[in-house]
Amino acid sequence: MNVAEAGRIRTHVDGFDTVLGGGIPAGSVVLISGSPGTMKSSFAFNIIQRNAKSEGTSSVYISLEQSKESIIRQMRSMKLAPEDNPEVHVLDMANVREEIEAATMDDTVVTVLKEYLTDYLKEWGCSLLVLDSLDVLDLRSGVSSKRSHVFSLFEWLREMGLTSLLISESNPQEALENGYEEGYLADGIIELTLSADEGDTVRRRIRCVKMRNTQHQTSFYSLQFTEGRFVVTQSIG
Amino acid sequence: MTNTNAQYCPVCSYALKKTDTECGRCGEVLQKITEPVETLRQAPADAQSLTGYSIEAIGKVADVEVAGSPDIHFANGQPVKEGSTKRARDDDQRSMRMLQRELRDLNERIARMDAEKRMTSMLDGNAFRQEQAAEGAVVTEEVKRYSKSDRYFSSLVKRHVTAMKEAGRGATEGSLNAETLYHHFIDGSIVKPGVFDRSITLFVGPPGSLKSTMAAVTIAGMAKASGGRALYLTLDDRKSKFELRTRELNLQKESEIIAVADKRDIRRGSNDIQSNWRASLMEYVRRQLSRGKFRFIVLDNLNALSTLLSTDRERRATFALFNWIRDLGLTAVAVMEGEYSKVLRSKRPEIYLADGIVQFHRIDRGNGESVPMFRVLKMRGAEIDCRYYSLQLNSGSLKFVPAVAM
Repeated sequence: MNVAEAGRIRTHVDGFDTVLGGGIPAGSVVLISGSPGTMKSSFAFNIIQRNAKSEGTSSVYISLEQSKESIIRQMRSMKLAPEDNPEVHVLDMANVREEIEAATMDDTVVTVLKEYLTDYLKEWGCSLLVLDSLDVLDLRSGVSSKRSHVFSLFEWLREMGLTSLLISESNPQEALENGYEEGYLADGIIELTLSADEGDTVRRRIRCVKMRNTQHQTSFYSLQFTEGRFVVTQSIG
Repeated sequence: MTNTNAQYCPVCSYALKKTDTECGRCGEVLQKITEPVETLRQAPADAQSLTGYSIEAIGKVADVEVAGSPDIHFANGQPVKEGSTKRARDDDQRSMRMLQRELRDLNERIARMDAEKRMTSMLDGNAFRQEQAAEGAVVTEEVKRYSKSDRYFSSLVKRHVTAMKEAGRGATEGSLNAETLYHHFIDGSIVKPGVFDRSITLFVGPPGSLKSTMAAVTIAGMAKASGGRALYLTLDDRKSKFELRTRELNLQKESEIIAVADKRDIRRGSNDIQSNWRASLMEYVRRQLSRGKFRFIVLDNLNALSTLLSTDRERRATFALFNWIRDLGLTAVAVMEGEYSKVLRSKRPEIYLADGIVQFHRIDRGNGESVPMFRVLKMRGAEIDCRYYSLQLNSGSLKFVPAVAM
């Protein structure tokens, strides 16, 4: 198992690594939050694909709902095809959701996940992980509090030496203010938005809400995806 | 608040008004209902039941005709003759027993919540075992603390992990070898190159925003281009309404391409009259697929399929439904009623599970005229133009114009 080196993991989003002081601190647990259609999955996949290409970083994309076929198809259309790079692994856990639910009822879900994933992570030597999405894991059931489960999961990810990107469907306000524990327990939150106003244009935006050990701006930036690359620019308005 | 003017459909348990003669959800024809009889005794205005329900009226009847659920009797009948004190006493006792039952249920729920709170406060990082009562996941008062070395906990974990490894075989294997098949969708410049085969796209918007019209046109176009057929399931409206719409769009020529069914057809086609809506729908679709080369389907609308399950279970049920549609090899458009902003706030699982979302809206021009608009918010695997487009029906065809050009 590769232990994440001290340093930062680049997002390979033109302009955004500067905002983050060079990238995401290695070994962090970061929430990628946003509503449907804000390109959370694509953004996360872009990070692992580009790191695999440029630094040879071994990574895994864990999908709890979308099938592997659908993910590959989606990423291929964005010129991020995982099959181009053997260091990128896609783990399709959609078929085991029923068992995850049963484990939730037994209050063993976090331990079960750890045991299930450990073998894969060791085999592949991963240091970068994406979990899509955190909300599919129903950590509210059982006798233990949600905070305990989230804490346990996050601590394990750090102990494994992973830099983890957890896709979250809650917005940062929900994650931080309404008692959703993951916002407080995560090391960072990156928010993606899609303006749903009545104007003639829909704008994609990105901001770093929180990132430990990093001096960063919290303002929104305009996010675009062209020719297979994400680019951020100063947001107008 | 106790609803004294409700009845329940014997087939799908949908709550209906007492005076309804047909179930608005499944179309079941109910027994003829007579008007409820005026009650003889009204409780005082400030009367409260022990469970917190306000007692508005307690009716007394002699001969009872029951419609709907046998557990709840909202009766029609002849008024009780004045002076019948024994009957009045019996009715009082019946009401009292019902209130006592409600109170007992409430107390049990409070006891369960207290037990859960006690356990949560005892938490110190160790795993707890939840006692399973005979009827399900009921938390008992006695909780033992277990460390990770506990054999019971370990065996549970091992069982789950083994089952997951069995079920997850192939989770990492294989890749997409074949070329991705796309279907032209709406307009080539708005969704490029289209939607991929076996995708599910959601059309969300308030009533009257032309979602169904757009769904019919879109599905007809895809079916025609691919040489397959489309199945349009209208779960809220009658088939006749759909036929009127297709006439306006000159789609009646495509009747060989689009087969339409409404809830009566689905119900009639189901062998099990007691099955729930989803089960009936699945049975009907399977039967249709065995008869024709259907490659596309419209579900209009998903709200009719929504369950009374909790949000998490609803996500699981929706995940299962969408996967089932994909496994049948169908490319789907699913219509959903409601303003997108409200649907988003309520975190409906469909918007996270669908491969694409098209938002429909009506914009008020201020002169009494409102213009239907749509925009594509999400489409996996495609390049999309997220601008608003207005929908115009001209000479039997739909035209899309960018909103800025209007």
